[in-house]
Amino acid sequence: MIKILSKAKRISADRLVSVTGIKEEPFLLYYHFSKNNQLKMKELKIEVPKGESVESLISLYANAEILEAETAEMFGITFEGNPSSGKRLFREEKKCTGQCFQ
Amino acid sequence: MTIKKSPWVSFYNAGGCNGCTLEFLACTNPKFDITRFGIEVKASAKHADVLVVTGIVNKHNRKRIINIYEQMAEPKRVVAVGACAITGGIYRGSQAHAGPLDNVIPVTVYVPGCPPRPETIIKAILEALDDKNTKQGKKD
Amino acid sequence: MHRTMFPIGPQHPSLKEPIFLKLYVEGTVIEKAEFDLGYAHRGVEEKMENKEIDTTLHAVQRTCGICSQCHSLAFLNAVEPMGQIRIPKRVALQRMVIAELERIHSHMLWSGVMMHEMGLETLFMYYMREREKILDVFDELTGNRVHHSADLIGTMKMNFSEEDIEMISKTFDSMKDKLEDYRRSVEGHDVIRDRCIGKGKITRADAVKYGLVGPVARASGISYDVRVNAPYLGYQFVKVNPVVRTEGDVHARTLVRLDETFESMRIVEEACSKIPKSKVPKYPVKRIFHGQGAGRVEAPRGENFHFVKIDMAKTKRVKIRTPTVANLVMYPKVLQGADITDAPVIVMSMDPCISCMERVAVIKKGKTEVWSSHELFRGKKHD
Repeated sequence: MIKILSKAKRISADRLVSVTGIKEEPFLLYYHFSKNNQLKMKELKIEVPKGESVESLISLYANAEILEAETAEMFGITFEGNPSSGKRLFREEKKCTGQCFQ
Repeated sequence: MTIKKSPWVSFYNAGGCNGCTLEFLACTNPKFDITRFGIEVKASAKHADVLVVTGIVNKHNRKRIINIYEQMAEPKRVVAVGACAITGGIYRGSQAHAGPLDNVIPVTVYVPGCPPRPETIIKAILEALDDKNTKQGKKD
Repeated sequence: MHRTMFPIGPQHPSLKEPIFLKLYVEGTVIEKAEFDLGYAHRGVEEKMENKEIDTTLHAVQRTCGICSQCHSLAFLNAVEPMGQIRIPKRVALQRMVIAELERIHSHMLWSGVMMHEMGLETLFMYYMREREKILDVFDELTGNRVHHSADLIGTMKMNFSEEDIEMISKTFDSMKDKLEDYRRSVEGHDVIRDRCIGKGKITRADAVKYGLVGPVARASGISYDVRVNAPYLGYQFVKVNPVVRTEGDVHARTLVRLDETFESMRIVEEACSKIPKSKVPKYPVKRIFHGQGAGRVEAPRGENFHFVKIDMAKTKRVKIRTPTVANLVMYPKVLQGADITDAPVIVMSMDPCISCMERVAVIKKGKTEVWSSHELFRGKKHD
């Protein structure tokens, strides 16, 4: 599991804005944070090697539940500690093909 | 069997960008006033003569559309509104798309546009009653 | 304990868009609420891979019919800094005028449908009649009532003339008295007050904890508006006063949206008076080959966020996070403990725009796992 809680705590932002996944070699995850609602947002870039799971930010930001669940569903990646990760929200199939991470 | 006048309309939004839904909703305004033809928009498909469908057919709502079509009583007509219902619009070929509306239920009148104007939609609903446009009409 | 599952949707007269809401009811009180999504799923983000930037702009504008211009502006806010393109004053003010007119028409549509939910059909028709005047303004300015697509990278497609600005001014003069009259009704009418005050309450602490955005947060006391905190484009020339209330219930959310309509009218008139004499630059302005950026704008429903990655003059990835997704986590929590007769009013007061929310890329075949009410009572799934 890839640990990111300490990196996110160092940024110390008020709000998590978005979680984005890009399918490349290696798989990339971008987190965007907003601090004091300023113009420029803080960005955190994480590389995820194949087959690894990622620590969830749900203990710091409560709205990470749905943002991480959307990325999890699209790419097949698991966020440890998020109860909605792995649930089907937007589609009807059990496993993913094509855009899938695994 | 023919429908002479005052058809009752049921509406299904199959998902899409909602542009065509807004223009259909605008038909019930005081400005365009669809009720002067005796047309009423009903919630249940069992009370309707004409089914208006907007939006793109995806795998989730394919079964719903067939379910709603089978609940309607004969004689019935279908109007497909917007480029997304006719061919898939800009989403054609994406993995969510399950084919044009033609492949799911038989369509009487097609209204192209992105989105079409309300006056065109009203004219299309009235054209759907014309017997020349349906195979059933030709038989009688 | 016997619990009934009460489904609302996907086809339902009170919902304009397909969403499946499952409410678990004990008596008339809602114990738990779940939502089932995916009916409006179109594969928008998947379609925007490996395409030219102009094609992607065309597709981004068609993500939503109600808030088309705000998606266009968020995309341009992410892409234009990559090429260091300077936006002249006329282009910035014109884009802002269209965005604010869109906010007015979206709030009026919302007000009309909200009155319809409460059973007040006359107010619904009144709001729709006034809204048609704004759509006529769009028709004159851009050539289309919905999906204006007036923006290009670095410039716009048209110049607003003196007659256009006078027409906007005349339209607002004919609308203002009536809108103030309707607002007095909404604030003082007994039936509306009984149905709205105290229902669906969201406290300030909850709004901060879940990171809510838009009028929902501003009605709970958080003064966050992207136009004020992070001014972009024309908002550097015109000051915006945010509308904030503290009660946090359905009535407060309604009044916040109605007051924002008047504020937007003032902004449009001030912007029109500041448009300079110069014309918009000729297209194309500059080609963009490489870069990565993020942009955000204030849509009618809250903060809209786009993340764009461009490689070799083609878009590789576009990520859209709409305000409805940001507020989605609050829906089950605000419905818990409420009465079932209040459910449509509470859901409508959060202003969901389902078509904006469902654009995740999908994946191929499979069996359906969604249970309709028919399947539920039978106790088994069938295809």
